[in-house]
Amino acid sequence: MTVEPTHLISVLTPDHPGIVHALVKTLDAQGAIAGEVSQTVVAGAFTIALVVAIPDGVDPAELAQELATAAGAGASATLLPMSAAPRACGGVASVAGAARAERYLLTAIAADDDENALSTITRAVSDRNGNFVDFASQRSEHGLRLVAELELANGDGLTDLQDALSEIAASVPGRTVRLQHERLFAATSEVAFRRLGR
Amino acid sequence: MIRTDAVFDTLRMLQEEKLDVRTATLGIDLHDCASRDAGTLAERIRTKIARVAGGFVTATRKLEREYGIPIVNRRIAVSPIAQVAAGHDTKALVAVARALDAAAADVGVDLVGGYGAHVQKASTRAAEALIEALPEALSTTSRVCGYVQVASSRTGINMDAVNRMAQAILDIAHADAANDGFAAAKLVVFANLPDDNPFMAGATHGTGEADATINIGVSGPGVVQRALERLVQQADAAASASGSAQHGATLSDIAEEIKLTSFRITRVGELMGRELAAALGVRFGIIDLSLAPTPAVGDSIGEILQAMGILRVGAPGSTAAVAMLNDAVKKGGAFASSSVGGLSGAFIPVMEDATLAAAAEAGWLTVDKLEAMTSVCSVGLDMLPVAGDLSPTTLAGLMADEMAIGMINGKTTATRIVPVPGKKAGEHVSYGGLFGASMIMHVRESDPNDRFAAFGGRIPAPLNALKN
Repeated sequence: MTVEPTHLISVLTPDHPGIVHALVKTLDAQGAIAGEVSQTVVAGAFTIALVVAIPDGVDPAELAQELATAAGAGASATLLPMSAAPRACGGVASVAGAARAERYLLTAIAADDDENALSTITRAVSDRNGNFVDFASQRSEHGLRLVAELELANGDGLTDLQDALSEIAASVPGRTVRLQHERLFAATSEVAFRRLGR
Repeated sequence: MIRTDAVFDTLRMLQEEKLDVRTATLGIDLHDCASRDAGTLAERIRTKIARVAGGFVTATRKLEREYGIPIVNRRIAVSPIAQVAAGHDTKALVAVARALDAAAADVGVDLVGGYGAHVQKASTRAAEALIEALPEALSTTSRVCGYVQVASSRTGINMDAVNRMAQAILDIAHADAANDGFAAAKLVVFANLPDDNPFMAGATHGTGEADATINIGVSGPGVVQRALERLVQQADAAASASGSAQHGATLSDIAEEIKLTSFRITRVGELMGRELAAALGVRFGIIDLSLAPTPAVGDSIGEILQAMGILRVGAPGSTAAVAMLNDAVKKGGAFASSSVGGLSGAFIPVMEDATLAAAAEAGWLTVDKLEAMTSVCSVGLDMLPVAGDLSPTTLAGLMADEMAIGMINGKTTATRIVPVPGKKAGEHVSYGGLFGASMIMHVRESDPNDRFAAFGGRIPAPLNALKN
C-alpha cells in the first residue's frame, strides 16, 4: 500500500457468505485503506487479518467495533497499532538479525492418536530460532497432516533442525517429518519458473 | 503458501514413487590438457579434473540435504578423448583411460564418460588408436565409459567403423571374460549423439560446450507408473459409479497424465541443476528427461507399459504404447523447461529393467521387437546381453540396423550390446546393482557368407540430410 499503514485489525466470526465485502465496505465508508490481507476458515470460523491505514479523525477502536458488527452475529475484532505490530507483516524478514532468510516447507504426517506430534515439532523449530510464516495443520480420522512454511536466518541451522526433526519422526511409528527448501515445491507446482530467481 | 495437496503430491513422488535425480553430470572440457608427451597429457587430465570437480560431490550432498531429493549418481563427462589425445598411439590412449579412472576416484564420482571418438564419416589416427585401446582401457578400469559415434543423419553410416566396432565389442567382452564381459556394458555405439548427454555409458562433453557445465538426468518411471495407475483406477471407479459400460480413461487422458507428471519431474531436475551449477560456479547446461529404469520394482518402463494396458511387454501394441509414452514425456518436459536436451525419452534397457527382462525371459520381448520399439523411443538396443560367440557379422548387422533407424529418422539411436563369453542364448547373466540381470537374448545369426556389412565403405547420407 502506498499510504503508511497505521493498524492491524483481526476479525473472527462464524463463516457465512458476504463477510469480506461487508468489511471492505465498512473500511471504505470511513476512508480507511486495506493493504495486506490474509484470510482463512478454520473449523467453520472465518478469520481475517487486515493491515489498514486509518485516516486522522477516525477513531480506530470505533472502526474495529464497526467491523465486528459488519461481520455479523458472534463476531469479534482485535485492534493493534502498527507501532506495536511487527513491521514484517509483508516480507517477514523477521528472523532476528538475518540479512537473508531462507524459506523451507515443513511437512508432517502422524497417526491420529499421536497427540504430542505438533508440540514436539513446533518446539524443535522454536528452539532453533525458526520462524513460522505460514502454518496449516489438520487432524482427522486419517491422522495429522501439517504443512508449514518457516524461515531460517541465512539458512543457518538447517542441518541441525533436519536432524532434530528426523529424530522426532523416528521416535514414534507412523510419523513422517521433512524439512525441504520451499523452491522445490514452487518448481513442481507452478507453471512459471521465475520464482527460483536464477 | 503453495497448496497443501500440491505439497503432498510432490512428497509422494519423492517418498513413495522413487523420484530422484538419476545423475548429476559435470561436463569438463579437456582440450587444454593436450600435450605431445603422453605422461604430461595424463597428468594434466588428472589435475584438471581434480581442480574443476574437487567440490562436486560435496555440493551434491548439500543439495540433497536441503531439498530432500536423492542424487543417485555423480558423474563426469569429458571432451571426446580422441580429440584431446590427437597424435597419440594406443598405449598412450590406455594411459589416458587410467588417468581418467584415477581422477574419477580422486573426486569421488562413480563413472567418467567421454572416452570416445566420432568416426561417422571416417577415422583419424587418434580415433583408430582409441578404438584399438578400448578392450584394455575398459577391462582394466572400473569407472571409465566409452562411446564411438559411427553414424549420423548428415553423414550416413560408416560401415567400416561398424565392422570395426563389432570386433572391438567382442574383444572387450572377452578381455573381461572373468566378469561375464561386463566391460562391454561400458561402451555405447551411437548415431546422432548429442553433445550434452549426461547419461552413462554415453555421456560426453562435446564441442560447443563451455569449460565446465552441469547437466542433469532425471528419471522417475515409478512416478509415471503410479500416476497412470491412479488415473485409470479413479476413472474406472467413476465410470462404474455412473453405470457406464465404457472404461473411464482414454489414451488421451493417459497422455495428458504423462505430460503433467513429466512436467513436475523435469522441474525437479531443473531446480537441482541450477542450484548445483550456481554452487559450483559453472554453467547450467541441460535437463535430460529420460525415463531410465533400474532393476528395482516400481522403477520400470515395463511397468509403465503395463499400466498403459500392455500386460505382456513386447506383444502387439507395445510399439504404439512406447511411441505415445516417449512423445508425452518430451511434451511435458519441453513445457517445463527451455533447457531440455540430451537424450530425453524413454529408455528400454533389457537388463536394467526387471519387467523387460521378465518379458524377454517369457519370450514376449524379442530383439526384433526391441528394435521396432527403438524406432519410436530413446535410445536403442540398450544393455542387451547376447551369446559370447555371436559372430562379428551378426553383431555388425545388428548395429547397422539400429544406426539406420537413427540416421533415417533424424534421432539418436545407440547400441549397448554385451556379448557374454562362454554363455549361450537362454542362459542368464547378472551384473548386480543398477546394471541388473537378464536372460541372454536369442539373436538370429546372419549367414556367415553375408556380405552386406562386409562390403564396408559408407552408407550414404539420406536424402533428408540435404537441408541447406
